[in-house]
Amino acid sequence: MRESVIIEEIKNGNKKELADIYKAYRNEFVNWATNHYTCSYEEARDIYQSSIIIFYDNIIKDKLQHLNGSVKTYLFAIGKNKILELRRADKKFTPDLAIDDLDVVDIKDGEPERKELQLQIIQNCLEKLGDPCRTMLELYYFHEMGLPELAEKLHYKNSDTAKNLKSRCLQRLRELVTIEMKNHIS
Amino acid sequence: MKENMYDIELIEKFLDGKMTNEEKKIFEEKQARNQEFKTLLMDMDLLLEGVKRSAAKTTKEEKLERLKFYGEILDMEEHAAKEEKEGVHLQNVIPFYRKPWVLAAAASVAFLMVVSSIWLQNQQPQNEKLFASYFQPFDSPGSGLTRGSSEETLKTKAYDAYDNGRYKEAITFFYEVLKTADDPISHLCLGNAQLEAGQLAEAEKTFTHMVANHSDLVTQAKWYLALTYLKANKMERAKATLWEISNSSTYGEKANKLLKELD
Repeated sequence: MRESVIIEEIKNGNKKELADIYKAYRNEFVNWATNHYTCSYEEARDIYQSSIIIFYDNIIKDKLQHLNGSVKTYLFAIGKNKILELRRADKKFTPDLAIDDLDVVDIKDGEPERKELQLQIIQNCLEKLGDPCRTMLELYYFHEMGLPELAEKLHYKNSDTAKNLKSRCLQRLRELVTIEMKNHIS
Repeated sequence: MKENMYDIELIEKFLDGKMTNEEKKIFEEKQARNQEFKTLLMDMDLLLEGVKRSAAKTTKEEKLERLKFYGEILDMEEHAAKEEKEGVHLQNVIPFYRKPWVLAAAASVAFLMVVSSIWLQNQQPQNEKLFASYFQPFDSPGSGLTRGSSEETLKTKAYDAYDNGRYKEAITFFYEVLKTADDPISHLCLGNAQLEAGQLAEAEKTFTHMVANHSDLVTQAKWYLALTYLKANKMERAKATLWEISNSSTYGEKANKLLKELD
């Protein structure tokens, strides 16, 4: 079966195979996401990239060893989940209510436990957010890597593009955390 | 977005203690008058602590390797976008009537239409058969609970019509119920009634709405959405939706079995 060959090739580090897949479904995915889920072109492209990264990671981590359907079906399913996740976040996010105002723990449990739980939720959300956002935010805020350096690593022409991406990532993280906190309460 | 980016930068400088006097003035003003800015400040403080804690789990080198991989994805994107642009450009500059492949393409399209209509005629009964063997209407909680009750609420009327196969009547009642309560069970029953009544587009809309807006009964909604796609001959979507629930404890087995039959 062609799918198992693709998985094997990617697992063995054949990036050309991944590039071929990227090219094969990219336009169809962007059209599908913009037509069926009213995504913007940029949003659809970002989601497609995240889907490709998840597909790749799942192969490398042995989470994906064989496919029942096609690679396309798999990619589109990941993409659809990402889109719906984003839509839910857009809907539930309220910019005038701080994360800290959402009581994730009963008051009797005390402040340290509450903070610990909040930080755990943030870390889970970073995992959910995935790459490039997670790595970008961690390199910028923890390793204090500057935007020009980040831009250079990503072959961006200037650091403004890296700055835009960083802001978008932070915004998405904030939305995800707010939803997770709300889910935790309910 | 621009405003938000500026606010984020301002807050970063505040948290790092690197503000100029001018920026400090703007910051204080925003903090005093702008509620959204105040919540952003509180959130950032907490979020950055979480980011730093998460970042401590891996080395800088590991992260740089990940970033390098993302850089490769961006190169793939650049390449694909360039090809897409060039394709559009060609289409724009060559007049349609001068394209030599137009007639050949038209002939191919006609041929494909004939072939696909024959294929569809063969495919449709097969999908109908699969649908019939897998579809079982969702068991409403109304069964046995509300029938015979003196309390004739809208919901009991809806469940009664649904349980007794009066699907069109049930659809009308469920629409009324959903005007006042965004209840997932009512959505699920409405979608099932629409499926039974052959209203495929409406059923698709109902189940998609559920998947996007509810956290309860999502697996059930996905299962019925997949069956709706199957009945409507939207095979790729049916497979994608089935794949999503293929690990579920309740529907995973059925989903995998159906996926195999569709392959």
